[in-house]
Amino acid sequence: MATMTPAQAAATLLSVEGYAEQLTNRTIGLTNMVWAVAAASIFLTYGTAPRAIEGTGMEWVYSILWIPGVLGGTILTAALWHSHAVTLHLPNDPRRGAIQVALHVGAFLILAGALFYGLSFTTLAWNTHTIMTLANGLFAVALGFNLKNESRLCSRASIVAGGAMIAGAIAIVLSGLSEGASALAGASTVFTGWLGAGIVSYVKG
Amino acid sequence: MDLDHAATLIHQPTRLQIMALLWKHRDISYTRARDHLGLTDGNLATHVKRLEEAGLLQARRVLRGRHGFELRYKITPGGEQAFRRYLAQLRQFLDGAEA
Repeated sequence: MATMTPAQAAATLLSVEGYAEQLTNRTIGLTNMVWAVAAASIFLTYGTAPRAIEGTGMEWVYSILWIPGVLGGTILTAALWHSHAVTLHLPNDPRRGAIQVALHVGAFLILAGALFYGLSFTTLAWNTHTIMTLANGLFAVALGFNLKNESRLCSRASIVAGGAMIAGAIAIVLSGLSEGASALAGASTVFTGWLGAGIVSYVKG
Repeated sequence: MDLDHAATLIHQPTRLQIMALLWKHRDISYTRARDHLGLTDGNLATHVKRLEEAGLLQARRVLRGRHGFELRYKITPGGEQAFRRYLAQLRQFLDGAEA
């Protein structure tokens, strides 16, 4: 005679540490890969936009160019975690998932804003692209510490990737690249960083 | 939920946790199992005995040099098959319930 419901059995399985670890690590890895593409696309959009926008009176477009990349990243991330929840028979509301991602994006924007303000007092020639590269790096490190209890592998991968992005941002600033070149360099740096963390989490997970 | 005999044995909270731990780690020490699952010595021993009698796991003492013998649990091939069947039945039932 069964002593628990199937739902209780599923919950019991998940309570065993490491049981769902592989799936969770892979989902974190895929999430990182999604944001590697989203972040790089935003950099490239801003890097190429001046040619089309400068002098047209449409400079206000700069304020919304980030939306498609962030929207795409948010939708894909919410879909990934919904899939994760369905596989493990966990309750999941896709709208709640999207809100959680949006909160992460909000936290990133606050961090970026603080960096824009703080770095304006330094003597180094930071531009938008280098600041956003640095913001991605710091965000990755913070995310890594946040993941410490959930997955040591993904935590370490995120912290290392973040460190690499921070170093990349500083290197781009010190190299004195033009705006366009630093957009490309920033795109490469964040793409490589997030993708690297994603691949490690997915393959080793 | 309609289960075969082995699955019925597994379908109990503590025994399910023990089998899930062995499924994940294959071979685990008694101490680690007890501490990981938060069980008392007696509770763990009772459930392990039932699983061992059903041939789902094997308990053995392994010599650890100067530290003496260590009690270890290992999932048997029969245990792996039974747990795999149990997971399939559980998944089928949950998917049907959610449809």
